[in-house]
Amino acid sequence: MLLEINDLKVTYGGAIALNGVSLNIERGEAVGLVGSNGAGKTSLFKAISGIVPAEGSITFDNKDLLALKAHEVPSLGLAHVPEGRRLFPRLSIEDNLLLGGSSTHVVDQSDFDRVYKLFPKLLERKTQLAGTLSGGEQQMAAIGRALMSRPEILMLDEPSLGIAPVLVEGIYKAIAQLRDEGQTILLAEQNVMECLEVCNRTYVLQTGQVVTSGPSDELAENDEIRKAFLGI
Amino acid sequence: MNVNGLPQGSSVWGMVRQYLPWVLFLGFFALYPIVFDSPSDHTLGIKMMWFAIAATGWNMLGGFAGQISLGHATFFGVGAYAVALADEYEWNPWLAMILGMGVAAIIAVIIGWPVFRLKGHYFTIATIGTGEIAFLLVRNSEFLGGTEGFLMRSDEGFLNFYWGGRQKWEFYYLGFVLLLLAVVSTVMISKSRMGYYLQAIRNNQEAASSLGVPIAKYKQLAFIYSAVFVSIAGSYFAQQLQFAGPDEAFSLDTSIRITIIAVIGGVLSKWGPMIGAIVFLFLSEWTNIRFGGNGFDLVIFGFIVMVMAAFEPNGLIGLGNRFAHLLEKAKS
Amino acid sequence: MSDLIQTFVNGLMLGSVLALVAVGLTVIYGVVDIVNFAHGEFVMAGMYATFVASSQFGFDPLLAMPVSAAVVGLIGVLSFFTFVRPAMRGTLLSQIFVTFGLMIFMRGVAQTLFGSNFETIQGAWLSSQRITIGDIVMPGPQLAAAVGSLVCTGAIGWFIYRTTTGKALQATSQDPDAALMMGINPNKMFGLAWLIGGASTGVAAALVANYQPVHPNVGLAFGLTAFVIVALGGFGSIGGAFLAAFAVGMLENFSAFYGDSAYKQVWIFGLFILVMLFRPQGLLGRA
Ligand SMILES: Nc1ncnc2c1ncn2[C@@H]1O[C@H](COP(=O)(O)OP(=O)(O)OP(=O)(O)O)[C@@H](O)[C@H]1O
Ligand SMILES: [Mg+2]
Repeated sequence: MLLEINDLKVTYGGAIALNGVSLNIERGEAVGLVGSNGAGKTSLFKAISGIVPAEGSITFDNKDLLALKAHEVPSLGLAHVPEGRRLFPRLSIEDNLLLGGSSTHVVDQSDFDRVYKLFPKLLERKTQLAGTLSGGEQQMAAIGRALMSRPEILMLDEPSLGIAPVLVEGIYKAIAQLRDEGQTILLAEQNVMECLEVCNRTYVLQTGQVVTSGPSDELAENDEIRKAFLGI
Repeated sequence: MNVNGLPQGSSVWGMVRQYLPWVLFLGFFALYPIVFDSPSDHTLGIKMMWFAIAATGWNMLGGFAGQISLGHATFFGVGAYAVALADEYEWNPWLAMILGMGVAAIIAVIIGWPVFRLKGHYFTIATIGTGEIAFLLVRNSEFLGGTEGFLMRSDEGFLNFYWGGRQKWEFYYLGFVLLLLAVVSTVMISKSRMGYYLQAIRNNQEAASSLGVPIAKYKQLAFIYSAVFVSIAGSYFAQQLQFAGPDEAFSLDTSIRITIIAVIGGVLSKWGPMIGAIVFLFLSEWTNIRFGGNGFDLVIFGFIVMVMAAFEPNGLIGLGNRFAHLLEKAKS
Repeated sequence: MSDLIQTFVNGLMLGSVLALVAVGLTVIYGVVDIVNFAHGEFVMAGMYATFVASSQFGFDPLLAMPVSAAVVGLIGVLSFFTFVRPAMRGTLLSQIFVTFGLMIFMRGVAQTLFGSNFETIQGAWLSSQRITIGDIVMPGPQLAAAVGSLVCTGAIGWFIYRTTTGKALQATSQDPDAALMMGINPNKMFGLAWLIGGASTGVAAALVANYQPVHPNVGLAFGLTAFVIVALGGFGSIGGAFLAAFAVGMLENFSAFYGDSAYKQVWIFGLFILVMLFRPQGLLGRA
């Protein structure tokens, strides 16, 4: 098991955001996490990255993640593409990419090449300030930045958020391509269709709990689950 | 049911907690000149009074409204120079003090207009700016005595706002009355709608504004209030010293001192400035005697302020509250 | 005419030194989001470090520059890790008071150690040098301070804009949480910002000590001017601070040339308040 989460609890002040979530990911899998607004997707991601404190256990490659400081997490091999992209707006694309990998290893040209091959658009724009990119381009840059750390597992938090449908398609194409190359992926989405399509397995999160999970195609074919949880 | 109008059970404790500070503080200040009965003790007591009045005034804006001003020396100076000019031109010092309060209020409005457009650090820096401008203008003004300021020669007596020597205790009690005035009006304001609004502004200005609190108006009111009381402290100070000079009244050091007093005591409580005044006076006298007046007091005050900021932002009052909580916990 | 040129040159020389002091302040603010109210006292500490190195150990102030940089850089780092870091978790009040306390503390230490007298460094090599072009005189100490400050400011700019660590510093300033997700240790970056802010101010202080006496309150004017410059330039903006420093250097010299030099700070603060009124984000700051 690459990532194993057991009985995870996250609270903000008194409010419970995650209430006993368990989830695991094998190497090479693409795992989806769907749930509506406020279900707790982002909280789960932040708990994995060590940005919010959590109870329970998270082990990655047999290492206890909860014992680490947030800035120590990326060098283990987890890369977080945050909700809303969060690029460094007044740094160029190139510098954003650089910083994605510079704290985990010495970045070389092949790191950049891999990203530019996946998103040729970024190569054209590499000297442009990240804050001046369109939403879709920013999402590409954010994914690229995460890839720069040569992650074992790539965590994507709502990559389709606020992006025009045509561009969403392109981004999902890239995600599928990464999956096919063997990249382990954890993908949080409200966009259920896209998520089910690209992920081998999917967890459904509701008010801080996993209500159901299974292979994506089974979930998609089960009428009850579709009606009750997926709204499709 | 209350028996004989006494609150029952736990609320006795509540009553004690509510009124104990009044008894302690007012008792201490009222008895001070009787217990410490020499003119030099009375001089110290008078100092303590003007510290406390000025810091209480500052705290309405700095503590209650959360707008940290490092420019209040301007108002202190206005109060001091008002009575100094009165002495120069032989007006009545009381009238001059009241006039000074009015001038302080007007200057607060004029200064408030630009500086309240800024928030947080920017506001604080802007108030340093206005304070320095006032300082330089006064220092370079012939009419206002230039770098020398004014030496005063008041006659003794109530009408002259001056007592010396053995009569100094009267001066002290006058300060006590002024301090009471400041504290009681602070309490009244903090319990009124204005107090509630100021607290909202301190906690979250954006939220307060979206709830419809007229922020600009209430900040301005708090500024005027604090300017007026700091100017009273300035008048009282100049009358006691029989002197008003730019470095003593208008300089950044004066603003800093007023601020330290409030911060050490605790800016979130009406008692903070008073505790601060007592502690400040005690520590500065003690270091003066022990180490000579060579700045060692600043080492101590600076250190206390840093520690407070980092670990107990509500100063000594905050420490006291923590201690009281611990006691209560231990009891139950 | 040559008076005007001389005033202009003086403005340039002063502006260059002010730029270095202000850049130190703006780096700290930009990265750590704290205004260092003790920044003037950092200058004071550096001047005393230079004075001690020169009077006790016979260093020329120029050679004392690394000492001053190290001392003030260390003061910056130490104050960050002892008091500033805990205060950052607190309210705005804590964040203002913590460096306010540091300012008082440093003044107190200076007074206690050195007394309130003005101390002048004797026999600095530069003090006997000067460059004269036509009627324009550039005294050695001032000219060296200007050139040294420019070089040092340039070095800071190069570090922040060209090196990976500098970019990480910028990233922390622009989005600390995202930087954290990239594995950038924020405390390291904050400490580094205080180190740079302190050390660069130490360099400026050593240069200034060549021509200006030191006393415990010497920091006041530097601190106030640096606040004004940083606010004018837009808090956290290095380019803005650089330009504003020259504007203030010119204003200070020309207002003294045309008017009473006692009022020069009134002009500076007046300009500050005007800019705050009409462009609160500063000249190059972002709204
Ligand atoms: N910083 C915070 N403080 C308080 N409550 C929070 C905070 N962040 C999230 N929450 C609450 O925790 C719950 C889960 O939020 P979370 O952001 O994890 O959901 P999400 O599934 O990512 O939602 P979305 O799809 O809208 O991004 C929500 O009820 C939210 O209001
Ligand atoms: Mg979310």
